[in-house]
Amino acid sequence: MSVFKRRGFSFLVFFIFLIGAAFAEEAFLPGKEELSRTKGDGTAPFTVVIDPGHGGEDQGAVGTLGLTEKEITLRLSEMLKEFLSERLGAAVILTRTGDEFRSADERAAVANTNKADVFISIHADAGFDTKKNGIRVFHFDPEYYRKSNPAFLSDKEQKALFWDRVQYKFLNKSKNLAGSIYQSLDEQAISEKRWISKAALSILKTVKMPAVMVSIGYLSNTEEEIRLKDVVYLTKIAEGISIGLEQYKRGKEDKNNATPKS
Amino acid sequence: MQHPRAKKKLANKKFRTFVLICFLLLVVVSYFYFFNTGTIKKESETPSVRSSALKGEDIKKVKLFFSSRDGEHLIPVTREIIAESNDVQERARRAMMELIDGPGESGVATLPDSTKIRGFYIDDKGLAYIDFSREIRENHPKGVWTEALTVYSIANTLIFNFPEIKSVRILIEGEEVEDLAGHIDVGKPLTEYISIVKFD
Repeated sequence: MSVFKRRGFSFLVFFIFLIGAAFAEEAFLPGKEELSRTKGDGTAPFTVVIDPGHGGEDQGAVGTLGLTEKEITLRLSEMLKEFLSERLGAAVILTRTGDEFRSADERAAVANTNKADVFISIHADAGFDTKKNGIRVFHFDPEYYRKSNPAFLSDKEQKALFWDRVQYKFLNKSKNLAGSIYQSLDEQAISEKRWISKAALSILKTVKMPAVMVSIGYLSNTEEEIRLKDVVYLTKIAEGISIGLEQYKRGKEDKNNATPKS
Repeated sequence: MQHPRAKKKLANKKFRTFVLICFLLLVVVSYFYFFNTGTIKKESETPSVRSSALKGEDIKKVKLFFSSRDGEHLIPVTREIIAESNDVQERARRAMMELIDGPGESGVATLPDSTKIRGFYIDDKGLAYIDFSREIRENHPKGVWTEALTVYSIANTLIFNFPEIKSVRILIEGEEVEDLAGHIDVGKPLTEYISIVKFD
């Protein structure tokens, strides 16, 4: 009888254990915190990875006069590299230096393995409306993390989507960086119109650092295409971006200096 | 010292209590389990109720999301669609064809007008698969912001007008794609995106 009683008790314990285990599995799954592993030690030089959009067989947008996005993004990236090296003494790495195809993962890997402080992707726009023009700075859309995980995915499935959540930790910094660059371009009135936008950009989602995309103009607008062929105009854009980045870097340093070290 | 029979009675009583506890726990656990899956079931029941209520109607007003004239937002434009049947797949397909046709004077197109719809299917979870012909990619201007407008004009039009559709997966020539023009992530089901819309 007491044997039965003991068995009954152990059954109960086992049963409770099973239920507990089921809930514990959910509770102890690694969450967002797992993604917040920090990089760099701060003593390394300020490293910027510039990503000239498209390349190789992927031409990107093409203007009516034949200017290709892959061509113009590389040209601007090279100019930007010079400005950043000179003005900021930054170590600058380009994700491609020639007319070669690179996948989004390869581009992100260049930035991640070099532990860059900042990632800037250079693109151009083109619209259905050929009158549309302007320059635009993008940061990653925070809504992406909510909307890309529809309700029918279980919590466990949502948490498993790790690899494309690495930008999550840098959403605010990326927004600030985009703000600095936008402000600089706006102050110097580069291009007729300036915008700052957020979007679920594939290239930014797997980058583990503050990251932005600058779309330097609309190739579908002939007037803008002509401007983009002009070296003086491109230099202005590159300088505008570099000033914005310099301001962002200074703001970051001021913040670091303001916090007392223990 | 207790009588053996009284002892047996006590043990029986304890066993009964144990069974009762187990049963209660089972009820609680299964309640939570079925409650969670039950909500999904409930949602998927609504379409049939809704579509039966609409039986007999072949004209429906839909809000199509085109680009605003300044090319900065999506704007809702009301159109009437005539569907041959009351089937949600048929109506949603019609709405998409109207979206491809373009907005006329009221805005700017978001898709190349040469794009064809190769297939359309809604699964039991409300995930709509829309399969476009290669023109959506080949004839797209390929700009970054333009691509964002294209992607969310499709997702918003489908989700906003058809409560049966919860999310949208874009296919090109029958294949699941990661992007349309190389920038915006469409590798996962898309849900509606309101912050790009300007309602007046």
